[in-house]
Amino acid sequence: MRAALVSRLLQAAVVVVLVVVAAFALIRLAPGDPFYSSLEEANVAPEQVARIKAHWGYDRPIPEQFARFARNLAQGDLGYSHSRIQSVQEALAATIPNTLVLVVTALGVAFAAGIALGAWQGWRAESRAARSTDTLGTVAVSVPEFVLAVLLMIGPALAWRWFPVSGMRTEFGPAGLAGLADLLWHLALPATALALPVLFIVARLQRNAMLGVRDAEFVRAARARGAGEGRAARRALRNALVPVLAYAGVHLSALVGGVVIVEKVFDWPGMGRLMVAAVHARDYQLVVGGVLAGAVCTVVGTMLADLLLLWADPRQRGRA
Amino acid sequence: MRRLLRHAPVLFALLLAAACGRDADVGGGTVIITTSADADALVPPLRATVGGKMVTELLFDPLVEIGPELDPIGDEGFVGRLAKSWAWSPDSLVITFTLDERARWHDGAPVVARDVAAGLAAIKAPANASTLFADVLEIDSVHVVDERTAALHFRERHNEQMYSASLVTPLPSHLVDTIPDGALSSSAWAQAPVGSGPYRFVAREPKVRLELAAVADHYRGRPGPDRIAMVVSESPATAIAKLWTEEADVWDVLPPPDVAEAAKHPHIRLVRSQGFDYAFVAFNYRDPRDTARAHPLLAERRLRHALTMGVDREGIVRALFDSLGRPGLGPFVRAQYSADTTLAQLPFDTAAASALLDSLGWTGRTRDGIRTRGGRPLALRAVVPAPSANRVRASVLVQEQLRRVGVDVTLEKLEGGAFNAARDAGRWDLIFGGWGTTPSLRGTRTTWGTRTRPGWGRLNAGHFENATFTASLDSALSARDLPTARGHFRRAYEAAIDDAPAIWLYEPAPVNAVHRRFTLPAWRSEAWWRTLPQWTLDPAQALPRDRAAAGAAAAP
Repeated sequence: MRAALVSRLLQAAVVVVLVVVAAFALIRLAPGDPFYSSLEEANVAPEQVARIKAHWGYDRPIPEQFARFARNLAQGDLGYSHSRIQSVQEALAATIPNTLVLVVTALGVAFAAGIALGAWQGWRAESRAARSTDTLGTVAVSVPEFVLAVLLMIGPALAWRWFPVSGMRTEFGPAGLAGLADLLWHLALPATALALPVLFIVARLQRNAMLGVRDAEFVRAARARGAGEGRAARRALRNALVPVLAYAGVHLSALVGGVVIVEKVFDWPGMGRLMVAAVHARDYQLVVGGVLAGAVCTVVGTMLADLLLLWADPRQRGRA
Repeated sequence: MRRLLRHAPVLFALLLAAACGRDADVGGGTVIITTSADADALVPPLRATVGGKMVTELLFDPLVEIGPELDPIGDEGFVGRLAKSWAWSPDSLVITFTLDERARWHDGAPVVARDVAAGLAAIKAPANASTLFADVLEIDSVHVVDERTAALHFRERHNEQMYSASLVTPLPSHLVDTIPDGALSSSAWAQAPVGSGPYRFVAREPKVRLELAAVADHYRGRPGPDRIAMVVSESPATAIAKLWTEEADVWDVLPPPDVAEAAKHPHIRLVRSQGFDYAFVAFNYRDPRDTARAHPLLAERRLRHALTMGVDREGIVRALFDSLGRPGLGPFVRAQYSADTTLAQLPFDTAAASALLDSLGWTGRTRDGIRTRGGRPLALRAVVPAPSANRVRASVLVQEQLRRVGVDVTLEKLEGGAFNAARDAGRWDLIFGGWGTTPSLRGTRTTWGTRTRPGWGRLNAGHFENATFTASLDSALSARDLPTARGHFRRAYEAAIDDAPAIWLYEPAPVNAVHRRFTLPAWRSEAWWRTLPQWTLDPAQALPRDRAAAGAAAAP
């Protein structure tokens, strides 16, 4: 078990390093630079741009720049963001928690509701209600996240004004408990846009897994021992959770794309929005710092999902 | 759940009311500016974008400011800000400014003559790469005469010396002088500036929001609105949607479809203003593969004429802007004092364009109808900036119109950084360019002036060179009075239209949107925020955030 964990950690470290090296080189190979990225910044003489690039070391060969980046990273310095006029650490510290709030809420809702829905659909697969909700799920999954986000904005936000159009809080809004309510009010639409497709995918997986175990010997044995329907279903569910939890790990990285779109549509001040703006601004140090933070988050998330899988499926422990 | 959702706004309003307290007294209100572009900098020498200009002008007062007539010649059209008066030396090479003794920095320190020197030094410091650098080239130095008197020394006379002086914003020398060279942009002061303007810095979340508060004891009087927030949305559609739901109060320039949408929202007031931007399709006079050589096709003036006459600019303007734009007239906008709407333009005339192309030997045709000469098709490559929706749409229309006269245009859409890099490298035949202008005409030297003159033509990416244009522009910029200047400009523009370095596409007529609860003074087209301190709030229409602002302003 310990050897497996060490092996996974080493693999994760290699993945993070490769991703960071690729991002470091690619962003520098793209046309433009951090001081000359927008159409409006054209009125700076090329010689001035060259001087300021030299000041920040961007005129040096990429391997030399990487060596300097690695040295600074070893000292805990991720660099300076030219587009945000603050350190990369400050930029990440301001946005990562916002993305985590959004993602954790969306995933929490999606998995809790998806598992419950799927388990019910699988247990009562023959009922009309189960079949109807399954069809509804197919429709929801086939709607791309950006379309869903725009639809949510047009209806509940713009037309009916139940929710704010965008942002994370009301400008000059309340603090304290009322502030928390305000945050939840702003969170509702982006979290829904992110959660709905995941919810129905999870439900579909859970339904199929439940169908596979509901007539298994251990469930029938439980029934034979006098367990009620509810208890038998719970016992079946524990076994049926394995494929869903395996999916959680895989989905974490896939979710990144969805977060970028949802954050952009709803102006959620998170990592996705930060990274898109950083790439457009050719903010080299912020792009690399963001990629590093994203890679670490994804790797840690995937490992947590693996640990959950081990908890849910004792057979996996033997393999580990 | 549905019941809960139905009552969500009411519940929220109750929570908000509880948080705001019972103070119903309404002050100057809160202005929320919605935008899709954050301020690129908070201090004057570092700003490049419109957002940066707005924020820095609210935080910092200049020495003098151009008046509403937007006349940059001489000094009659200027009003004092930090400078209460000024005097010219007999040779006009020195302007001595006397500072307003009531002026204070937001930390309480008085504004002194050394601060003027600090302002100029920050623009001229190479490490700061200030976009204002080119505009103050003729200012040699600042001489500190005494605590309240600063003299600006010019290297040479020109008719916009006072305009150049208006770009020198004094900076707090007691804070700035301690910042090492090259560290200004990352300094604590640049991130939370202490300024001299009607609003002081409160807080900033980069690319998310910026908050300013009124300076109650400002030397020019307390500004109207108590608070200003600039809220950034990556998507313009989302930013504009905030206007409809009253989450924001101001949007700078509405796209035409949203102008129609605004009519459905009675709380929105539309303000039309004069445009200072123009767009064009520039021709490359140099070979994209070797910029030392003339362009194999476009160096020929008659081909440029044919291409210009093949484009229906009126039609493009109607398609893009309906009535909210006009065809371009030349390298200027109608709002500038040099504008001349009587200039003869190359007409839209496809028959004449075809005849010209025939006379140039482009008589053959491919199967697709593209003209050929000696077996080679008449094919051109155009670069288009993807961030500019208008220019992207215009490029498709131009491509189709030129195809009809037998010219094959390949469009290459590039995002901001890549577009700038391609433009400067000269790797294009046509470029869909655009310039944001100011009341000053000195920028024309940079954008269309010949590159062979020192300090001229840096942004003249197509290498347009015309002796008559250059000489007339030079004469216009040194003319001592308006009629003489206008005469020289007319000659320069006639030369430019005849040489056809570009197809002058369009000039948008901006429409701004503002919440009706504010009463506005006369709108400043070139910089609407300059009159923001004079906005007044109708208490009867106040929103909860206005009342909260009054409470905050009353707090010690």
